[in-house]
Amino acid sequence: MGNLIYRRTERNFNPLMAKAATITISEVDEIVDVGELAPEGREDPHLVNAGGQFVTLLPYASICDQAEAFAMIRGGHIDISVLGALEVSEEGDLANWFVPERRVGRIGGAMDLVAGAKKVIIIMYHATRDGRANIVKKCSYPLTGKKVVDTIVTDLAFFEITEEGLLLNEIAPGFTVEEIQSLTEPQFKVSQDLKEMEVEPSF
Amino acid sequence: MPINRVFSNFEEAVKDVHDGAIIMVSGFIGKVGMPTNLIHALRDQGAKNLTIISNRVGGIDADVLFEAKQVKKAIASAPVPASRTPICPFEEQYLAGAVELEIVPQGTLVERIRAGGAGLGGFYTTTGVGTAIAEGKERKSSMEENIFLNCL
Repeated sequence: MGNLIYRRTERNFNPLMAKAATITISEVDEIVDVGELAPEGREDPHLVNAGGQFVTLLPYASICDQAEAFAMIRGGHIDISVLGALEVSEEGDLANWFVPERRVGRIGGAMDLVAGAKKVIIIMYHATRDGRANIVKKCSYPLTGKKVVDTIVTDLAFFEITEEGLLLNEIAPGFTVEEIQSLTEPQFKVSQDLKEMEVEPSF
Repeated sequence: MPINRVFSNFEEAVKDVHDGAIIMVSGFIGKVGMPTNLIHALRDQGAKNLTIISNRVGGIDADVLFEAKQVKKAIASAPVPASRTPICPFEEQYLAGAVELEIVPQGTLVERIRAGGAGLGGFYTTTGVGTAIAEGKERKSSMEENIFLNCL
């Protein structure tokens, strides 16, 4: 995962330089694996991940505080961020923190993630239950970020947002391009290499 | 007067918190790292017109202060849980106009806290550019043509 920890005064300038550099090459004593989610009944109440799930630690695991975490995020050191959405516009605007009916919003790290991550992937339902498109010309909900989305994965399709607008790359089995367009507000282009989404059974 | 003291109970520790105090409460979206006993002691102590700064204020321990109507303002990034049923005391009071909310992106909130403690007066960030968060804030363009906000 690229987390680094240092022994005692070896740290001195190391963490600061590693965080500021465009590329960091590190000479390390040991490489360790990433831990897993805690099995039920063995949760440690002191150990959660950023989603609030109980996790486990392997020896020499790395823990950082919120300031460090957001320095990583805001400082452009995260390659990919995956988020949900209420709406995505054809220019890549994202709305996912405020629903007018509730009148109190929830931002959390979303605005930082879309401002800082090198690539933003959105996972969302293609349309509401009554068939209203969630991929729109312009977002009507308050924005999380402007022109931040790179790709969109829905239950029906996979889009890339390019300079020329939405590009349909993959389509869910059993659906036609026309059906997808009817559930998408802006006109999109269809990739020359359009293919069927690989769907894994979930039950 | 030396303030480096060890208290033998939670009531003593919060005894001197005055009305109108601004209190930062740690914790993320649950009990992890949250000073549950101190919060309850503060509720019992009864200080009023507090400002609470925390990642979340509703649906977790700090909510007891809202329930006891001791808070006038919250500064938070994800103030309420995903579900609004049952509705939490903070959300009820906010919707009724009894409590003020300043909503801040989590990274900006964290950095305001860190910068304040590090003797810095403010910073510029791209987080929130183009959104409601940026409204009314000073802007600056960099050489890369990014637009930054100033947050104090």
